[in-house]
Amino acid sequence: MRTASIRWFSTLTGVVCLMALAAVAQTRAAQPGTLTIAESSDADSLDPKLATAAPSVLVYSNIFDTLVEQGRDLIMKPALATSWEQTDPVTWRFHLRKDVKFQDGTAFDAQAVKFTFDRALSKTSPARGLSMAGPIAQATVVDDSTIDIATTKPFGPVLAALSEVFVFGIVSPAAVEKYGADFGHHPVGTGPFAFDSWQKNDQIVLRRNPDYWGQKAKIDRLVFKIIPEASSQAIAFGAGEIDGIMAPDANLIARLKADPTANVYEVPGLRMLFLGINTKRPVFSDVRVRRALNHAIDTGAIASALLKGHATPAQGYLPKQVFGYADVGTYKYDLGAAKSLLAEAGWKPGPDGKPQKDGQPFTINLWGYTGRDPNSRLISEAVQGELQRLGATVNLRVWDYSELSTALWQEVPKGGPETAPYDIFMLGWTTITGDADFTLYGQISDISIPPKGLNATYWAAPDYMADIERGRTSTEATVRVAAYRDALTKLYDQAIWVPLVVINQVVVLKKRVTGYTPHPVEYYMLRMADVGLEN
Amino acid sequence: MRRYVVRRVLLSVPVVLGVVFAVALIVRLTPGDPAIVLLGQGATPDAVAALHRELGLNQSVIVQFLHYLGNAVELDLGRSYRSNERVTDIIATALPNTLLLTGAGLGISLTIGLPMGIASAIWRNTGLDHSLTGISLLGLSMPVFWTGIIMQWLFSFELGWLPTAGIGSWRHLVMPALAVGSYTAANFVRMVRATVIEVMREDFVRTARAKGLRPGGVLHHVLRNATIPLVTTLGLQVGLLLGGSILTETVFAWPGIGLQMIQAINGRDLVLIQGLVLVTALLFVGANLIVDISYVFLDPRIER
Repeated sequence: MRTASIRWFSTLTGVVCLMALAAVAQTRAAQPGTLTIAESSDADSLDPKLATAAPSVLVYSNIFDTLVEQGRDLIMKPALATSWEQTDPVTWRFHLRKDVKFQDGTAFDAQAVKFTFDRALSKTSPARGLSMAGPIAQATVVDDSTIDIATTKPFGPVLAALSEVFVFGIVSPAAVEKYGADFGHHPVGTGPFAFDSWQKNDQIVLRRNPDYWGQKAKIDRLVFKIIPEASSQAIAFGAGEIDGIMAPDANLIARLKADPTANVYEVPGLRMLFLGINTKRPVFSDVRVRRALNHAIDTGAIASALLKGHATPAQGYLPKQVFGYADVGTYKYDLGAAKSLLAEAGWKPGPDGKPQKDGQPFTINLWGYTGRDPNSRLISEAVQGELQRLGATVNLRVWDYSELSTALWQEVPKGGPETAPYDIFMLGWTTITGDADFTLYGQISDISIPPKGLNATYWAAPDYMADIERGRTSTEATVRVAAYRDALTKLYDQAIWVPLVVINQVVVLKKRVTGYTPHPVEYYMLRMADVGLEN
Repeated sequence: MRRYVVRRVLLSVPVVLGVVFAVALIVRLTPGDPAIVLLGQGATPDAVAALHRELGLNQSVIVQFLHYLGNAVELDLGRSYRSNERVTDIIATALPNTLLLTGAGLGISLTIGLPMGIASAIWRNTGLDHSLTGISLLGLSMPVFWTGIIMQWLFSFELGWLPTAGIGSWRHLVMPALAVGSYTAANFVRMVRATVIEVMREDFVRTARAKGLRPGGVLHHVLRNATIPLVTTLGLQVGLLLGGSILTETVFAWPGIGLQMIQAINGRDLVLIQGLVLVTALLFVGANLIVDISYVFLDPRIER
């Protein structure tokens, strides 16, 4: 009896050991030709019409193409359109690439382009990102391989708008008709990878499109694995279960840089954090006070200490790679200069040593936020501390990012902007198209003053408006660049913002992944058509 | 018996409805406009107003809730704001995963907690009892996201025995089930210990011993009488497990309703939040209903 149970027990132990060994083998082996990248959130939808946030666009930018493509130098290149010309001030004619097929085998032609544009421009259910696309009016078929895109008025950055895959990614009309509202889970485009499967919150699998019109993918499968927790990502990467991590947590980047099996790709991005100043508030309507604020913030310290070097101090109102950027000067961190500017504006030290004017103390209502950007709360608090060095009393209110948006843009104070409960607000803004128009017209213009838009500084001087209108309506690069230089000079002079930092984009990949080059636009960072694996 | 069950089921309906309505109200009163979150940088007031109309958010809460109820009766729980996927489809995919995790966690909790609790009670106030109680205190003090990461480091990174995260094979279930199960086990040990000790104090135990019944037989009778309070605790454990699943699912990237809930809340996906709360409320109410009904079968003294 006892011998039998000993035998049974040892057999069981043997089986368990074999299973464990098998488990080890299975866990460590990576499927050949498969590239697995970890993301912290799942895509919302793979339909360009519905999902404009990074987790979705990162994935479907491999599935869909646009008429023109934004290169790594931010210059527009032919993609589904091989050439184009402007036929009149508001119409652009695109000649389409021939012999291109959708991943479901149907033909790509001008009708498919028109279908995509009609769908995105629909009045009843427009594409969610449409307001970022500018005044695109409609698409008209000329013939099977020619299409006219019309704008409501002359629009210089039209190519940048058309390159936005999250509005104008070209979709297969047959697939949309077949899947209807479920197209987001069965996406079909013309891109280098076709949709294979999607287990929600687990992984999205794309497979190579062998009929791609351009550079065909070098890998067979591209897997986006969803791992929400940063340390789990690091462990999976270290254990060899994944080949890369998109936007790893800042605390992990230093550790990953020291990992001999990893390459860390870090490039300046297009997202900038800044402080907007409500120029209608009596204290801040004085430009000297605004300039003083600009001198009072040490953006270098914010970038190196708070963001651990994964950001660069802003050099103006736009990231440097943006079309239209010009170096018109920045305010140096200089507390002495700040204090003397305040004194010039009438703020003299009172009996308690703090600045006051007409018996009123220097009070600042600062709105910061948490969420959306890493360490944003910390940055808000750091800014509060820096402004307190001027002797100001700073009342900081930290909002959840989505609440801040509502408070700034939707709730206009009844007594007018001069009675607003905020003097300074912190925000982040990404110049997605890489074109100055996107930020200057979207964030700082008269048509975007709340409640009509997002310009919570309430500033839009007429001469500045003339500059950005010139930049927007001209289609000649030299004219546009000159116009934006003028506009940026005025912004610098009037100091309506305190630009803080430009955030870096980071991707970590195993050394066995070859041929990867980062793209400054976050959305296109994981386009993997020219990436290979060596074993 | 049948009347009892029917009455309990009918009483559950207003409870579930009340929970869903409360949540529907709360998420709409919470700052943070779903349209602004969905549109991101495209959130111009025109776009926001258009999206409000499209999603029905421009109507009053009562009207929205009544529409929701009307559709819910036909098993249409709406479509997620973010993905436009049917809420019922989302739940149908995610729920089995959470049930699997909860079931495995419950199994581990019982396997560890029951013997430990009984042993603690029988040999109470001995060294064994103190060490078992100490271990359970340790288990309670270690949050699941900490034990989870430590396990990942040990079993995935160092030893390479188990996959770090995700779903797909029995190997993926081991760590998350252990993480959530050991936490609830720690809780369970104490409940079992207290219950068994209390039952052992009862007169019938003294009588049985006096009659000369051997210890195993006494234990058998003790456990039978402890079943009802233990089953009650189990019902409550289900609630703990469902709630704790959010953390476990996040650490282990386990695609259940916990992970869906976190994302729905962050994305202000009101329709999905309501659907998930509805399902969770139904699960909790259902589990406790089963517990209540089981009393009748477990204790012959309870009137049928």
